Amino acid sequence: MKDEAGTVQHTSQDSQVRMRQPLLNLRSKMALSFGVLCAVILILVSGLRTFGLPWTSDQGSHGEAQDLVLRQLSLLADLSKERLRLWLGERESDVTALAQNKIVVSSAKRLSEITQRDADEGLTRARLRADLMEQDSGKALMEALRAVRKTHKAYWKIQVADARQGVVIASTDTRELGTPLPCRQLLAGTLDHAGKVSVIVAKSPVNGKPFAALSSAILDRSSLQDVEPTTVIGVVVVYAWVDRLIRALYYGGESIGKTEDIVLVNRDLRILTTLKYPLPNGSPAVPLEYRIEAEPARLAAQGKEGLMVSRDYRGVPVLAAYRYIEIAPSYGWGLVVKVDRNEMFAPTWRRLFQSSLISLLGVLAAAFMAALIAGRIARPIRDLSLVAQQVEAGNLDARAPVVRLDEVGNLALTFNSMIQRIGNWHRELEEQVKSRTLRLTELNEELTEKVVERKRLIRELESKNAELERFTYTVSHDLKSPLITIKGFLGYLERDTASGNLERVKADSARIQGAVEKMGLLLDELLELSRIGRVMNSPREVSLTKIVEDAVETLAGRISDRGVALVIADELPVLYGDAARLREVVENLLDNAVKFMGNQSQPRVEIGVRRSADGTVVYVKDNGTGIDARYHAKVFGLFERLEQSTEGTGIGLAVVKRIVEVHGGRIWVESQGVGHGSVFCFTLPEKNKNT
Amino acid sequence: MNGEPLIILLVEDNPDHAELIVRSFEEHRVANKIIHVSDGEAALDYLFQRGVYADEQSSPRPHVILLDLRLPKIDGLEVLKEIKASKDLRRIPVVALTTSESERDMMGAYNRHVNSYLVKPVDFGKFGKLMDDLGFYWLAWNRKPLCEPSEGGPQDSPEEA
Repeated sequence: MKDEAGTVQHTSQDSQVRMRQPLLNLRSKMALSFGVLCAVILILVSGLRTFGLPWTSDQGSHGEAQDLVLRQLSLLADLSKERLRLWLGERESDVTALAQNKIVVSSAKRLSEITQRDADEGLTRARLRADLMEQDSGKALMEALRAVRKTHKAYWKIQVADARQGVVIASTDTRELGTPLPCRQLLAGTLDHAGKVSVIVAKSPVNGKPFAALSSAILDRSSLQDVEPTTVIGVVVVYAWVDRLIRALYYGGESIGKTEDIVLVNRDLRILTTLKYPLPNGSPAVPLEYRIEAEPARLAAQGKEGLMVSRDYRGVPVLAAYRYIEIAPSYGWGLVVKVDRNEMFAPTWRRLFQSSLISLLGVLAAAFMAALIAGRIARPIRDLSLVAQQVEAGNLDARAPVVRLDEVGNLALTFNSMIQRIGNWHRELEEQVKSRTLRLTELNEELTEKVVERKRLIRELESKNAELERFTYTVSHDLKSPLITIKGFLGYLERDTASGNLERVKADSARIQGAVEKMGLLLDELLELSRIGRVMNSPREVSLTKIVEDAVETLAGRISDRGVALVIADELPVLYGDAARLREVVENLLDNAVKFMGNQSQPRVEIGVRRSADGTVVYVKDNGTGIDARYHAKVFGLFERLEQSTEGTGIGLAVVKRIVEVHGGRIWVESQGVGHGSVFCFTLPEKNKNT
Repeated sequence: MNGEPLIILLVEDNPDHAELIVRSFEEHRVANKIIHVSDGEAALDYLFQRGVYADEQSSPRPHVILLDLRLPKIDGLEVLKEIKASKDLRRIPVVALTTSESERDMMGAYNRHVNSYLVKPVDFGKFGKLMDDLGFYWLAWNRKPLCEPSEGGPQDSPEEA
């Protein structure tokens, strides 16, 4: 029982769960998780839209854009290639037409002969020039060349050179007449492939600008029918600036992007055209000197064609289309049309960024909505939690508010009924604990009473034991004494009678007689003493006045004999106890007072009552012999007599003491000493407290 | 026995017992003089020569004290304690002569340096014999220092176990 009560107490105190503040409240959690969920979905969707579904043909907008750009590049590359070929074709036909022109052929033939002659004669270049200038045919040819250059803005110079000497025999620039043809390999190539056009790109020694030179052989047609093989008279070379060529490459319409660039390289990967962007080191690339290492250019120069995503000469990622342009058999140029990937994908990224921005707004909206909904859901739960905290703190009267009749409302209702039940249990338990505690207290009090009672009994037993010991001692001593007397004097008696000495027989017999009587008296009184406490009349209310009157009556003779003046108080209390025994007490004390008057001339005994801390004290006061302080305790001892002379066995006060103590009272003597009289006092407990 | 009269102080409240003891001593001629007092107060008064015993001539120091333990007024043990506490008296052999065989009395007496503890025999013959032996032992055999008053030191008061 105690355990049960104890446990309940314990639980309600120790299980004080401290409410831990969560890192995020429900609302934030909801908002966060919704936000994260939406963000993930949106990122996934836009990612899929942009980059396509993995392991499927869906490439997403990014892939599509790339495809589109590559297609456009491819188209552009084809176009450029076509335009370049067209341009080259035009130049070829121009130069071929020139080479086959009758005037050119005849003039060249004539001029070639002059040149041959001058060379044979060892004439100087100036002489040769003058000779050539002089010739009508020369003039005509130069006129024709000038006309051609005028009509075809593409050329900055047209030359005709002698095939054998390699010397310019006609030119749009007359200063060059007689000078060797600058590009010897051109001459050689043209001569090797007579009837075909040779193309080379070189740098102008004058301004360093690259130019393209196209040459065609001038054949002597007049002897075509009979002379085999045909003789090559000379070559026609037309010079065009490369930037002209570039212009030709560009399609006049819109470009794909700002970063779009067309790069033309020769077999050695040296660039033929200028580049749009400077090199990584900051300097512009010099045509015919800078060698491009980029993959598309390399592939194109190797004669391959295709599309690719790669890096260009700057190291910038690009989308590129590369083409091979065959100029002569086993000789061609690489064409690369490229555009920066970043520029191409910029719209895609922009779209992605925009859609991300919109998504973010959506996410925020979703989170906000989630927080709103969570708040609506959480508020009743929080209220419930607060109530639960109150209940936990011990307020079992707290009730959760039921706002809505939804799940939370039901929870609140259930919770309320649960608290109600817990409250009931709690009250029941408390009542049980209370009643059991009360019972325990009662039992404890009972036990304490019992213990106290037991202690009292033990004390009583101890005092009884001590008393018994004293009693035995006294008996052994005081009863032996008369025996010794009897035996001793009987011995003398025997001896005296035997010897006939009868002198002291009578006295000795008297001594024996006295001892025997004394013994009898002792035995009687011992018996009497042993009866006190064992044999008692049932206690009742007794008037002390009555008792005193009785005692005085009994001792009337002795009192009057000694002429003792007796003073008895008017108002004596009513005592409670054994009437006969109490009378014995008063009688004994009165008798003693009268007996030990000594030689007092005006003997006086006073019986009265006084109040003290102990309660009512009854006293018997005399003006007799008095008692020395040393003997105040001893007078109450068994068989104790202060004076040998007076009669009695010394049992009287012992009896009185015993009676008073049996009644639960106390007795003592007050005396200033011998000659000052004595006061015997005793207390008796009030009615209800007695034994 | 020397010529000096031998004095016994008998402290006994029972007159019959006192008579028996005196007769026994007389019969065996044990002592020259027996002084009998019947209570403890009187015994101390005699020994300290107070009151009626103030005269040194009529109340000489006893050679041995026979002390009953159960006495009116001042108890025998109390008397013994005072004797043994006194520088003048403690050398006087004190023989407890009592009816009590109680362990408590015996212990009390020996704790207060009694010189001998004797229980009065009930048998007449034994009583006489004890008195005879007692007198002879303490007054004849037992030796005591001669020069009495000077020896105030704590050293000796001849005793027997």
